[in-house]
Amino acid sequence: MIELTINGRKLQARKGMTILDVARENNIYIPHLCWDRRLKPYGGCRLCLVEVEGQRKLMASCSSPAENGMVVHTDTPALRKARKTVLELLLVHHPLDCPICDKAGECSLQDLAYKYGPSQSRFYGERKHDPEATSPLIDRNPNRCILCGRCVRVCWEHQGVGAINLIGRGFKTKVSPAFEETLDCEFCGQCIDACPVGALGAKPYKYRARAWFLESRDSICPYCAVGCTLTLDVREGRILRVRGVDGKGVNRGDLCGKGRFGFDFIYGDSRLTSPLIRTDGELKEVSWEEALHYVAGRLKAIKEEHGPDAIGAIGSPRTTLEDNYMLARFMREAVGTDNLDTSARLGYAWVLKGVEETYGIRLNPVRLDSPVGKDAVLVIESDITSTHPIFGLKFLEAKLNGSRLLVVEPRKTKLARHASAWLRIRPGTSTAFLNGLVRYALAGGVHLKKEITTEGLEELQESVKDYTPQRVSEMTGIAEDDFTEAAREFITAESRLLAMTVSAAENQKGIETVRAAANLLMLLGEGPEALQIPADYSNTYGAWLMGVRPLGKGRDLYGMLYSPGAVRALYVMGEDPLVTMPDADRIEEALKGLDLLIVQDIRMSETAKLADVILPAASWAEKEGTFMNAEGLPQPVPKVVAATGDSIADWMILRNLARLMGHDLGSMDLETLQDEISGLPPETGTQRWRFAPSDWRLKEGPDAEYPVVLVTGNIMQHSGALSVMSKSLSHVLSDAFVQISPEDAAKFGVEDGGFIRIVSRRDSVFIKARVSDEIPEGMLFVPVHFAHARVNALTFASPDGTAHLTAVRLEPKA
Amino acid sequence: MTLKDVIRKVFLVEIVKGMALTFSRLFTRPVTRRYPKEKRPAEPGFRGLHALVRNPATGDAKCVGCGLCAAVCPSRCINVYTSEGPEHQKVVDGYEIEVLRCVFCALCVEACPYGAIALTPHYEYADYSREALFMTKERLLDNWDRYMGEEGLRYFDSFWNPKEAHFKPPRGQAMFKGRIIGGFSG
Repeated sequence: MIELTINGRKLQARKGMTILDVARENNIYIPHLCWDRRLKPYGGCRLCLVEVEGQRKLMASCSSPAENGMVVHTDTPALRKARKTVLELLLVHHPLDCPICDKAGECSLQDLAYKYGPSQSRFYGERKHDPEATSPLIDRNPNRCILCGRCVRVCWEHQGVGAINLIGRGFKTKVSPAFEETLDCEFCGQCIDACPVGALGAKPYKYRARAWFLESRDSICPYCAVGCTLTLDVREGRILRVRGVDGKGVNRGDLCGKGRFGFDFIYGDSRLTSPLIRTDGELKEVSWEEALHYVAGRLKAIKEEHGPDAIGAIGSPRTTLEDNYMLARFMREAVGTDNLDTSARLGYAWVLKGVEETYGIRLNPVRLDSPVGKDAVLVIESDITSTHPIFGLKFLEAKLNGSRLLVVEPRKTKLARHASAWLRIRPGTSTAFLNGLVRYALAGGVHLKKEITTEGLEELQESVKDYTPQRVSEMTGIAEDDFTEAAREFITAESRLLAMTVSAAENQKGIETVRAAANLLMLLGEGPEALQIPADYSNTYGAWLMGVRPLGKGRDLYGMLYSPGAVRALYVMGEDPLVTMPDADRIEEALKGLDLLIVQDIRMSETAKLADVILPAASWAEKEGTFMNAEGLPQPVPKVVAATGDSIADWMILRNLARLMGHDLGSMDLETLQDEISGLPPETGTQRWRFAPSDWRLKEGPDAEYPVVLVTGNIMQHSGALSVMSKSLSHVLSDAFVQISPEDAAKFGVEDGGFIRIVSRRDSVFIKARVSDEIPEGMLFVPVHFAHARVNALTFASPDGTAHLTAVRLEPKA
Repeated sequence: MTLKDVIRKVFLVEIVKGMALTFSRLFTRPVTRRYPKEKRPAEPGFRGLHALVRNPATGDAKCVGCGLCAAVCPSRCINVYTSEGPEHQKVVDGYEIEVLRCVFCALCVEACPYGAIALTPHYEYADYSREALFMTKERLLDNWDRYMGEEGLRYFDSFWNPKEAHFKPPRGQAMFKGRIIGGFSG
């Protein structure tokens, strides 16, 4: 313990803390511009100068370690003078265009100039950079830059991107991407929040409002399952921008591009404003009363004619807990059926099933900071920084803090680039890799050193006996030495973590991958907390808990969407199966064969275009509710703006509909609903470990006719089918594309930017090709977000939850 | 009641005194003005109807949309709407003042770094509807042409430009010194 005195106060500090850290912890103000909690000390701005007794020079507190017996002064006439001079030197070339600068009112330089004195410098210099106008979303005005380097360091040290740097010398220095090109990065916008002045800003917000016109409300991000806290800045009932506030929420102020720029999906052109009923093949606007009477009447008729089990419903991983709970009650009580499911069936359900088979527990929430401090972190075929960007940052943080980051991944993702060891695996073969690890561990006898279960151990030994390093190397394409090295490293590590994502929009990992991973961890004596598989979307986890899944003998998603004719009526709430779920053609066939398709959504989705009745729902910011993130943490989502058109919250629609069906659910308002939800019995289970052998085979491997495998997934700037509504995100990427390796491009005669036809055993799509060295030979990667490309017509779903890549062939000149 | 009081009451002394004053005023010049017919000129710096200063160089408002007027306004009656123009410049799309809420403190005029808003000497703007007293950017510019025009720049110089050091901000105090386009030197 270190003891020092700051401004006459005796304070205690831990080893490794700087003077600034101690001062901040004790609410002592020291001005600073270049310091950032997340970054290494830089000592560039010289504003955090302090006087230390016994030292002749003033010391930069952000980079001076606190020492025992130090006597520090943070506010003396000499310091005031020094700070004033520093500010004056910053103002030499800072243009005083505060009246038009968007940062005015929340600008650190403005505040400090006001506090310490000079309004104009005694010196004069002018920088004549042209403001950069071509990059999407992030606005750069180099003339205003004070060269503190926070954006550059956040981008590299914290985000691991390194898209920008300081280039040039003297007055010509500016923050720029390499060769002053247009910005081509993740567009996370962390640099915008880091900038203390107005040199970096969000383009959608540019010149839209001044800081004092805005009202700030905190909400939870509607995209992925991390559940970041967004600070929404609202002016006159319209959200103008989103910020991350340092230290707030599970994200501690970090945001990704989706959270920061994607909020404008609520202002998308395709928003529904009134209920629609299809009459004579055309959708006509009707009143709520008419629409709900119609729906209730049709549902009752179908129920009487075919029984309640002819009706099914699909819940949404993006609506609130209350909405999903109401849907479950509506279906079970007002309709009387158990045909109920969400998109989790195609992803997260497999994870939970796998965890239950092995660890014996029914839920396995992740911990967002779990990677930090582990000796070895293994990431299996998952681009976590794209699907769960803020969770992904923790892997980079772990790496910086000395963990070994082992990434098993065919694509050159951000994690692969930052990995301690990147094992470029053949797509879809990670189960074989994990089984190989299991065999390696068994051969090394690790399981004998720890007291673990023996249940299923023999079957496990039997099932993995063929996965010798040599065989694994053949199957996965990883060199044998690399495999054994990684295996040794992971198995001998003191503490370890295995992470991946499993989602409806990804098609290379399934239940056997989860089983194999759990087997490996159990063998090493690790509990379920070492297996980190986050749920996909903002409320996937919550919708599961609310019982939006068959609890008894009801039909699940496969039984409703992939079995044409199985149900007569389908109620789809906030989901677009035609875009996000595999085998779109079969889903379309099933949907077209329905007597009644009710779609309740915020927008005219692809599925809604087939519907008989469309009910407009209020979006995330337009209703109150709760999201439960992948940690199982319920977080309140407030109503921030007025609902669009006639739309109302999903749970209200269902409540009203239940009344018209002659079955009052009794839940009148949000509070009673929330009380009911908090009264639900918690799903707990005690751990009971047993090994579940994992079988690996490629259901549809590449062959002579279909030589390439197609992998679907999420990209950094989009999430499911929702984010494409956002104009800002679409500004970065709005067109569907397929990534192809340079080798394959040469082999099949594909040009970068040219259109190709991809043919699978089911269908073919016409899509733009992007040649990218991120992709290995023999693989195509295609994002699923864009409805017009209909890439999910190529893929297929397998009810057993096994991994299923799609083998395709390319026809470049179709 | 004393005898003196009784006499004063009986002979209506107070009323006679009052009427004497009234009678004497019959022979003096009237102090009131016959308002609608006879108008009183406003003194310099009178705070009447609002106007946005028109920049003679561009023909548009001088306002750059910094919003300081709205920030300082105690009755929150000013709204400024800006957006990005085709050449990435800041464009003031709307400038609204709800006159009925204004308290005519003129803090907006004081705060404006560009001398872009003024309170004109015009005070006759009573009307029958609220809409008539809701000022948009166009109406405010029109007010300038109508009630200030050339006069206006003199008004700024003689009234809003502090002549005495006493009225200037203290030395060493940081303040924004904007460039005033066309007039208002200093």
